[in-house]
Amino acid sequence: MTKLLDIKNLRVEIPIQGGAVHAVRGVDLSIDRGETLCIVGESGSGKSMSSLAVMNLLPKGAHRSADRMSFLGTDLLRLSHRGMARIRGDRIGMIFQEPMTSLNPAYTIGNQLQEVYRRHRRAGRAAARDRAIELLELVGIPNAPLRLRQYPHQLSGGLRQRVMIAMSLMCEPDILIADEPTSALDVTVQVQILHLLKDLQTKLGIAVILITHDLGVVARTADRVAVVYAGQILETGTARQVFGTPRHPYTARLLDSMPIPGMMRLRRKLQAIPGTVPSLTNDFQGCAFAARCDRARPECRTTEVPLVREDGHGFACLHPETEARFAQKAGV
Amino acid sequence: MALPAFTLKPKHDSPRKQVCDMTAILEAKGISRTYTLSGGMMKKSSKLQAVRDVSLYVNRGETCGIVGESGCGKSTVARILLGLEQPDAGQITLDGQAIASIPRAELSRRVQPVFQDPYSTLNPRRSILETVIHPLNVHKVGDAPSRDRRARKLLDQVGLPKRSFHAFPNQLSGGQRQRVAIARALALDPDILVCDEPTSALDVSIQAQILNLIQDLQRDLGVAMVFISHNLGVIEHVADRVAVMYLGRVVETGETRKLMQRPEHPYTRALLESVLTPDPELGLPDLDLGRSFPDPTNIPSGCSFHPRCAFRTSVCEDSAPEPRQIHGASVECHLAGNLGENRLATVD
Ligand SMILES: Nc1ncnc2c1ncn2[C@@H]1O[C@H](COP(=O)(O)OP(=O)(O)OP(=O)(O)O)[C@@H](O)[C@H]1O
Ligand SMILES: Nc1ncnc2c1ncn2[C@@H]1O[C@H](COP(=O)(O)OP(=O)(O)OP(=O)(O)O)[C@@H](O)[C@H]1O
Ligand SMILES: [Mg+2]
Ligand SMILES: [Mg+2]
Repeated sequence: MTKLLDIKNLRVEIPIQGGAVHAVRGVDLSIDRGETLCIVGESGSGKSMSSLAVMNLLPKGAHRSADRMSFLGTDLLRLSHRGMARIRGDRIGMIFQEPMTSLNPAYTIGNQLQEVYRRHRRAGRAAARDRAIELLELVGIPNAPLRLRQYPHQLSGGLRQRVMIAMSLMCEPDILIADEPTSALDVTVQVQILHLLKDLQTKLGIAVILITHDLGVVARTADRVAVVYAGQILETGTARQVFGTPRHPYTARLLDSMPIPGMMRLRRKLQAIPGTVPSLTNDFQGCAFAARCDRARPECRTTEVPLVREDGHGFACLHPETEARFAQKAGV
Repeated sequence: MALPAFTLKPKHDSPRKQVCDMTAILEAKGISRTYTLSGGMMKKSSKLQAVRDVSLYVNRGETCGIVGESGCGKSTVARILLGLEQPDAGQITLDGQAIASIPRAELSRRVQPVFQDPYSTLNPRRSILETVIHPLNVHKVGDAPSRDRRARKLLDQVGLPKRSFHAFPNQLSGGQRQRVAIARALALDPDILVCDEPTSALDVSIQAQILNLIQDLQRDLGVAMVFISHNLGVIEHVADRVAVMYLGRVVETGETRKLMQRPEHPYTRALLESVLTPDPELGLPDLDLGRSFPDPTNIPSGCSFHPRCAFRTSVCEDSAPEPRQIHGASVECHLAGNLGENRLATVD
């Protein structure tokens, strides 16, 4: 069966003075209809660059390559600019990390929402307006007709983010790529928006690629997870596999750094990960996480570490963890 | 002018838990703030009630958390506590003295802010070391060598490596910049820090570093704090007491641990359930908040939370609840104590 989106060995290089940033280094991703794939990792790990590469919207001068990048059998690497423009916003919807970079400050919200629909659907003005109102209401914006007349700067960050979500869904895409769609929202609204995405997914069969650094969001919404670090996937599998029994120490350390209510009474201090993400201008030898890893041994810094799979649970580590985390409910 | 605690010694000799000597260092009594929004041509202006009759106190050596959703008035309270904005009603006292009567320079020395985005508040042309020395220069504290010594000691204390002391803000990561902002806030040995979402812009791994740093500073220096966040999971790590705000009011306040174990207000329960722990066995929580969103220009009658409340009765629509004392917490809810078991009391 052909996958909706199938990517093999994706690489992105961004030339800078005196070298290049290797932002994505051989990432494999695939997704089926109705599925949620979460990409999680610290700031600077290459999450946004991976998704921008799929949309062919990388920064000027940046170069992408891959062994395969197909969307419903269409080779995205060979698609013309016009062909890509037809798919973008229609078959593949995108919620950008920075709402202000994709909302035009000179046009009203209504103008921008309707324009997407009219361009791809050849719909009339009235139909586009009805659709825009329908979607604003769907994402929990009361008084939608009034909001249509407002400009982006007149909205709070949370409202702007919801407008972006509405815009990405105007044409009912096959795939929605959502880059930190809830990071500007507070905790209660975040839960409401995630419910909304889930509902749309079951109703319309949309596949969602959700990019975030929030492990809580991932654990509660993902079918499959890819943990990325320094432009590589270090661990991948179902949410239950990756968070229930994390094998890569990076995943385990990220989990340890999450504040969890009730933890203080257990007198557990938050475990911070020492050090920072490595510079992406160099090539590293061995495991990218070795410099910050408490389990690292000399061979971790010298040997190429392949991604090995056990029952579909992949991890790239020579000395993997084995401890189970959350009480597995099955059988209790 | 010389400062007594110039050598970074704790403000109190004993560890933090004993230094909360139950006298308020900072207190807000009945503060309110309403903004007037112009309606544009020919339209009448409307009133936005950002803060409505809020009372809070912070004891010496203690951290008071403020939690609540976006737009509920947390930052407005912070600006008022910092003396950056005047309340329409109510009073703030610092160590018993009305802040309105404290000279501007003295107030800004004794109450220091730490904001969400340190990048916008750090001067890009000042090195890290100069950034921390700057307030000491402005307030003419000590002489040049002693200012330099103090700044280095603070930078060391917040965990910045020596080699970064001469770096500029754009050469640091977000977490490192927040450390600089904290060191700068501590430079003048303030009575209290007002931290407005200091970790919201950071990765979890970096957030953990900053929260641990704040815990260490509390223990070692005994400095009092107000700590604002929308995440109760974060608040739990730093606050002794917490005030839950909703639409401009404090709807529940109490000792952090007790409040998290026994949240009494339906909104506090929703906030606690919204903390998404990375447990793959749990799906998304069902918050039961309905589909209406709070609007500070149009505050509902009766209990302002009632349109979103799954427990509401006719009383809730008609009359505003008075604060009630339950299990040591103060709760503004007609039904407090009668909501039944919380679905999500944190487990021991
Ligand atoms: N225009 C650019 N020029 C040079 N380097 C860039 C550019 N944009 C991004 N990078 C670098 O590429 C790497 C990957 O960036 P990317 O934006 O994909 O990270 P991310 O995982 O999305 O992080 P975040 O969580 O902060 O959004 C980073 O090291 C970043 O500094
Ligand atoms: N200068 C101002 N003029 C008009 N309205 C304002 C002003 N400052 C704040 N507000 C409004 O007052 C309300 C409270 O804002 P405030 O910034 O205190 O909320 P907050 O709880 O800090 O929210 P967030 O979590 O998003 O930071 C909001 O509705 C906001 O739009
Ligand atoms: Mg990004
Ligand atoms: Mg705020």
